[in-house]
Amino acid sequence: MSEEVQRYGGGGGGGGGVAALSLDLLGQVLDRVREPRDRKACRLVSRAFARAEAAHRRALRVLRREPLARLLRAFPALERLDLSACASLDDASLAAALSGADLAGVRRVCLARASGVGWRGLDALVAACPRLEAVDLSHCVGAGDREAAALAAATGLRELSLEKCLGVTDMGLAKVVVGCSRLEKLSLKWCREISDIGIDLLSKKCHELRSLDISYLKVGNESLRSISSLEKLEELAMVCCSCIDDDGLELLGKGSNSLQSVDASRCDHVTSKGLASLIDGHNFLQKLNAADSLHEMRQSFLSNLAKLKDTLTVLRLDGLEVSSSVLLAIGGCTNLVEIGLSKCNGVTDEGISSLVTRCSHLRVIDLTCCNLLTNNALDSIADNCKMVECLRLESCSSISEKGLEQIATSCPNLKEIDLTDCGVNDAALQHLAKCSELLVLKLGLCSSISDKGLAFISSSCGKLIELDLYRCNSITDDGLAALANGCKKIKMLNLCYCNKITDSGLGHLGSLEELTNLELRCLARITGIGISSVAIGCKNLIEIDLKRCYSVDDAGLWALARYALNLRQLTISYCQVTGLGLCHLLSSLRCLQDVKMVHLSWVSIEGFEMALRAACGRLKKLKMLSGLKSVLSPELLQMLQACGCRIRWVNKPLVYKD
Amino acid sequence: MAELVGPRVYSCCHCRNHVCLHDDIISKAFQGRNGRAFLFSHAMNISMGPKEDRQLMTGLHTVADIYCRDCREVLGWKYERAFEESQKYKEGKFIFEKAKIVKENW
Repeated sequence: MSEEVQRYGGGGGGGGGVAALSLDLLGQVLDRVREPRDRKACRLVSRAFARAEAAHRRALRVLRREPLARLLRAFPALERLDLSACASLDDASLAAALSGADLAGVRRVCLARASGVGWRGLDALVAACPRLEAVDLSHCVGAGDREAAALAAATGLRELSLEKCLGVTDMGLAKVVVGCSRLEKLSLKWCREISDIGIDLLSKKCHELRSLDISYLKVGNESLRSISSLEKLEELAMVCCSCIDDDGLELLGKGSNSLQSVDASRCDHVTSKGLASLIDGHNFLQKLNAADSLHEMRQSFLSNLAKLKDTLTVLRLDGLEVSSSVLLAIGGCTNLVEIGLSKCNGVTDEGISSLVTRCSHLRVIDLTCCNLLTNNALDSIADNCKMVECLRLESCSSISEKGLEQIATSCPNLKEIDLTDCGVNDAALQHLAKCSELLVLKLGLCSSISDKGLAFISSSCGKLIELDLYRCNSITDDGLAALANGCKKIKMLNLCYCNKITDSGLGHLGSLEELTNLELRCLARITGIGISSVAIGCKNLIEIDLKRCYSVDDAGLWALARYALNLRQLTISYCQVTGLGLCHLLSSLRCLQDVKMVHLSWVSIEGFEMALRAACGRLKKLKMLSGLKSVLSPELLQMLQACGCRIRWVNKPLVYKD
Repeated sequence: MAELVGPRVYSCCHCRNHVCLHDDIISKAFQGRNGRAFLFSHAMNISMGPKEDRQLMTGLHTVADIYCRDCREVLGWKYERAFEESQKYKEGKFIFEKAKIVKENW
């Protein structure tokens, strides 16, 4: 609580204390409480606290459909509404909840993956929120022109994401651009029905556009001609636009944009010549992503790159064949903050050295699969880039603890490091423990890491959020005990194939209250007992992967059904589950949306039918054996599809691994 | 050419020819010539080199290098024959090196 409150609190008996604060003052105090868990604790203090918090609450994330109406009425100051995780939300319930609520302040609404919401719900939303500025409709794959037309009525709209709204065509886009002329940020990623015509109209109508994403569209150079007329455009993403080539980039280069960021990654027909002409026209480019599109590097591009030496901060050239001279030329951009050289052939210690000696401001360095690099490269980085925060070294198998010692000593700001497949050992972890700011640590396939190494990390990396121990098969329960003691903020943990782990280890994980994602593939020794500990203790668990946990049976699933009430994603392929256990699980977990259940050999057809019917309205993604497609009743499959559930049928042989 | 919206596709790192699907991954725990490699049940748009016997980490195998059909970049190999019983499951399957393939549409 703030000092203000404490002073009031100390002021003698009787009518003093927090109760002396007006609702408004109390509300302002609570505004400064940032952590969601802390805010929840404040709400539970007293009715006055609850009222103050409700009166001032600005953001709301609804998880279940039933209380939606009541919640929308309870928070008059609401500005941001997130319905993306609201299980089984549909038009009727959305419209009903919106009517009667005062949502005049709502500016941002997120409906990502809300596949049950269609144009009726959107009509109601637009009508209820006159000040709507930003809508996220991404991944509503069934959304089409009718939904776009509904959004077009929100004339004040400034940000709109239609990413993966596969049904949107030029017609729907036309309605949006005519209705929402103040659009500043628009994503049409994956809307492959959109053509050059739609983009042309967009460019003519939305003059305020600052950020545009046309990734994966089948649009061509004519679209770039249209886009080049958008004077305020700063950010353009055109990932995997295979119909665009150097001519299009030249058109863009001649345009009148204020382009700062261009993403042309994975564009088959773009070469360094096109990029050179792009840079020619835009000397203030800050971010350039040409990953996986270039095959060779022409001198024209390198010399033009020199023009960007003051402004370029982000450069990604993944997949390119480089040489030391290329890296030397890149080093000329001395303000570089992020460099991507993942899977680039020809990256050597000398090349890295010549790059980093001039780019001392580098914070993100991606050297995935640059397998020629040795500790010398790490030494160069440690000597020159003291501010480095993120280091990706997956498959750089020649590095060792000596190089990491240099990094750990010289780079105290290190927040993320990926050492997958690098063969690091406990000594390396002892050095890395010096990086007390570490948030993400990836140690997949490092089989020489043992509990000792984990003990080093947990002794001082208390801020760790994500830990990947994929196939670190020397880890035992003791290592998990150390983690549970020292890294209390862990949210994502991967222990797949760490087959020495038993229920006792999972018992330790039960004390990690922040844990949201847990991967436990192929842990043959864990049973329902271990699952219970995790389910009871990790109240925030959203995703759990139990594929090939052959000893997990109905008892384990019962524990999940009883305690893991926030679970959204579950993988139980190859588990010893019966129809009864599956049915109980799917009917109890009201937030469960995504289930992978391949090879549940003990579940009968009736079992699948009952279980899937029980969760029909809630499920959004299912993965099942293709053999089931012909034996499950067609009406069940139709019902699932009608409720917005996508089923992936796979044909995998039944194989047991150890 | 595999449909872009749909299954997750991997492409040749050099010429972006579609070569394999994420759903066909059998195992991610293999070692290639220079680093990590994945075992796939199917491959497409590749051509094969001559069969030869090679002593790998897991024993003697008959393998054939696989090349991208368009640009001839070596992407991995195919297991033609395994001489140990425990390794027989690899026969007919493909190894793609992680450094040689890139995600295409995801």
